[in-house]
Amino acid sequence: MNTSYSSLLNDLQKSLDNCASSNELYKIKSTFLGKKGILASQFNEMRNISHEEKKKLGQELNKIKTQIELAIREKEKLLNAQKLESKEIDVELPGMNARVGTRHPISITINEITKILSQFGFSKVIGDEIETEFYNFEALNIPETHPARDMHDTFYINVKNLLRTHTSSVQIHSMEKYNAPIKIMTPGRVYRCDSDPTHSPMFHQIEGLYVDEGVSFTHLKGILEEFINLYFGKKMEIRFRPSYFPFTEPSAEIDIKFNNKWLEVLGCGMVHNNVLMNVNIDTKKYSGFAFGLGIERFAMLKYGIRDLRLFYENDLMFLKQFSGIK
Amino acid sequence: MLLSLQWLKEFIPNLKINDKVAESLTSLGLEVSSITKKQRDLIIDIDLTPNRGDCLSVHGIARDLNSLFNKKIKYPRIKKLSKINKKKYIKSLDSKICPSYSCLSITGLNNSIKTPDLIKSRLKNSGIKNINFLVDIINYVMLEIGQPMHVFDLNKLKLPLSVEFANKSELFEGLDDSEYKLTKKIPVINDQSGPIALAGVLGGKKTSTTQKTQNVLIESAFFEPNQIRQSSKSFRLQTDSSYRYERGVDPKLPMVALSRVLELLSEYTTYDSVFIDSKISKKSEKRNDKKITIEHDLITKSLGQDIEKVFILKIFKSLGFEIKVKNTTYTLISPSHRFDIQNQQDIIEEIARVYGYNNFKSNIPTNYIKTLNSNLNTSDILSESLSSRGYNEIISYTMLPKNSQNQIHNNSEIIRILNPISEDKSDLRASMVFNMLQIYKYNKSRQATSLRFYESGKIYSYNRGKKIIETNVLAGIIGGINFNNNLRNSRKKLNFFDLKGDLISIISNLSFKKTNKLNYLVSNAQMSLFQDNTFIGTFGALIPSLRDDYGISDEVFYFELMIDSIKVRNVVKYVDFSRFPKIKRDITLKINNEISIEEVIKCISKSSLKYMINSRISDIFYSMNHENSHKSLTIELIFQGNVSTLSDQEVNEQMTILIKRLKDKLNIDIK
Repeated sequence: MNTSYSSLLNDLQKSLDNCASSNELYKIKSTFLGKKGILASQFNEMRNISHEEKKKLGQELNKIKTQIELAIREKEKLLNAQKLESKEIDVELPGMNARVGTRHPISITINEITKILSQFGFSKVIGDEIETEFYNFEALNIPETHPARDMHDTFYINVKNLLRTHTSSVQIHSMEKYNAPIKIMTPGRVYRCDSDPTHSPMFHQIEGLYVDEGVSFTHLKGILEEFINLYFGKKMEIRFRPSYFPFTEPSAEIDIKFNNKWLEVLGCGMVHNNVLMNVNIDTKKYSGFAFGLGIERFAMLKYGIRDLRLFYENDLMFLKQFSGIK
Repeated sequence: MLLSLQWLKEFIPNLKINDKVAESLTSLGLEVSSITKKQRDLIIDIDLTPNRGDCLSVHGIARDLNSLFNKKIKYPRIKKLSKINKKKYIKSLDSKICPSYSCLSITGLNNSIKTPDLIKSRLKNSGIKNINFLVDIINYVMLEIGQPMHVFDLNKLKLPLSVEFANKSELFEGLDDSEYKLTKKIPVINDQSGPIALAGVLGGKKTSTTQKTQNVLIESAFFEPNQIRQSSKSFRLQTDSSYRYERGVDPKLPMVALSRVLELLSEYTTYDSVFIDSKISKKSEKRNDKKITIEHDLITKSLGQDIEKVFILKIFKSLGFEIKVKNTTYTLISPSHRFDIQNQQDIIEEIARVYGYNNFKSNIPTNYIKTLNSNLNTSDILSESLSSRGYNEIISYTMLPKNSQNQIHNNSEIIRILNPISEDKSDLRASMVFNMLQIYKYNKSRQATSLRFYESGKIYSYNRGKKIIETNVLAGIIGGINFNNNLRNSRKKLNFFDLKGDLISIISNLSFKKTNKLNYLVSNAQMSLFQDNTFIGTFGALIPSLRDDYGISDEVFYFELMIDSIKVRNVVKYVDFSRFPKIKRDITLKINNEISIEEVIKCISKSSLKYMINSRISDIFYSMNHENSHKSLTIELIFQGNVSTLSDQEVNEQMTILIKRLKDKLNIDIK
């Protein structure tokens, strides 16, 4: 190799070693590779030599050129990487446009419950909140004169219409529409003229109904025990005790043991034949069970909420505690 | 009902006084809600369900509890009435009200003695006040065996008595000093001067007794439950007597109760003479009419588990049923106090509760039932989207204060509750605006600075034909600063376009149309929302006067979506897409202020340019020049070929077509 050429590479290396910015690098690049640069003048000098030599020298010069280009590119990469690292960024500043929204604990509870029940094959149905006496009472085997009506302090809209006192009214509409077999769940708002720290004039219930051939009391027990265990995420101590609802017979109330005390959480029973007959379901062929529970109650137990009014106050300090769950 | 276990022990001598009794009662459906220790006694509170009127006495509870022990019940001593002379006190009974009526007269009664301590304390433990000796005895017998009775002052009565509906509307003064307005639907006891008692509910003031009364007439009757219930309900008056009668009192009891009263009177005090009268207006149902037949198989099928025949027989014997068995068929007649036993299901329930609900197995049914197709998840999916965009879901009362919606809704639209719990919650919401404002204000006043709320629920109104309409909506409100956690210099006030952007993000195929028909939104800052040409809701800025009512100074934006009209995409049909490079062109248009942006956009999208796959507004500039006010609109257009990379010329041709079209249709020049 021509000695001047090799010194060329040495010179370049020196310059590159001293180069600290892309500006300087640009200068180096034009010094060596520019139109009036060192390499260009070397090529120019070849004009005066023989064809043979030109060919040899040309090859050598091109090789040098490639080497120079490569060295400059390498340096460029290095400088870019250094630039990025030295750029000021304080990663501990807050993130931009962070948004933490929440679902209401009542919706979360309804979702959890319907998810479990849908695993058992229950389909969701939603009904009207303004009902007639027939759907809210009579069809459910609660005649006008029955003392059971005292259990329901009813809001009336007019002589005929009322705000449903329970989601059981949806049972009747659904059985009228689908007859049997049927397996539905109906969450929603219900209303009773009642207001104190433990009662609200508006609250939420979910009702389940399953009518099919051969449905028995042991099925009611099986599904509801499993449901409660799944909802609370562990095996609960559960007690069934006889109770009374006009639309079920036998009727039961389910208590669970919480902090060493029995707490009533769910009402249920085998659907009363009068109810099935009211919607033309053949009681010789079909039987079924129904259950209903208060959403607020389930939410309170799970989240340790003591005051019912928190649910309707909608304080962000309350709501934001439920971020991250659906 | 409060009950002393020592008293209960008089009926079941082997009873051990401890908490186990409460557990046994609860397992039978007589739920014990509390237990209080009192010296050597336990006082338990039983929450009785309305079907178990037969358990409204110590005897009744003992009778039911005995189904677990199956021992003979010890009944209190009674005096035979058969030797007592009759006198005519009763003239007539309306059979619709009163199937049977008995009364006992006592003269020369020494009523000034002190009530014995045991009776006094038992009454007190059961929550009944001491009145005077005779009334205490009557109440004691009611608690003991379940028959309500009433005492009249014999001297003040104009005998004979009739049980009938009130003859005319008049005021009746009850012994509680209240006045009751009688109507022809109210069953009363009349003497020859007029009404002396609201039958089965309350006695009258003018014939009431005192400690000094010596001559009395004691009424003990069987009233029709429905009649008593209606009467009690119409006066909103519930007494110990009406409570029992409306739940059904054993028709065999009236005479037994009088015998028991006489027994106790003889034991504790003195009297001169006693006479009795008793009348029946209607034969009580033949017992055979109440016969219920049931197959053993049906019991097994309903309960899901076989219960031994021996056990079934034992249960019904101990509960006082008459039972006959033929092969696998049971024939049962229920005792006269069990008004609730009507059919086979009632019989099955008796077996289940005495067997013990907790002793049954648990099974998961394996039948498959087709799930119903339902379109109910829209609100849930949209709710999730909103929450992940920083919105907080709320749940608010659907009842609003009286006349509170006047500002935006017609009076005739509003559905009102006839018997509201308070004026504060008496009208049903016809929109969610007021709930949103209220919750916004509440949180604002608690120093929240960035507010985004939504609720999924119903709104209610009468339509023109006075029909009740319930609509499922998803509504929300935003206001304040955009992001709490941002550094100050990147915080901005939430505005119209924040909400518009959120709506675009959560609803597919959303389009907008300017509107001004909603009176609660600022007229030039409201839009209707459409999905595939279906109207699905509105949004916009709430008018300042509404905000003012709530003391909200922030500009707030509201949306209301008709959930049932919105479709959440659940079917996607894949379409092949071009892989050739996209070519972007910008045009800037100078537009007169009379021309709306929407017209321009429409003009472009309807120009059906070849290769154009997208167009969007990328910049806007409003010129404030008075003589020539206009806006400059920059639109970004994207072109792409399907079979090859487009040449500049191909795109230019299309641009020329577009520019010409804008000029022809809207007289717009490009800049």
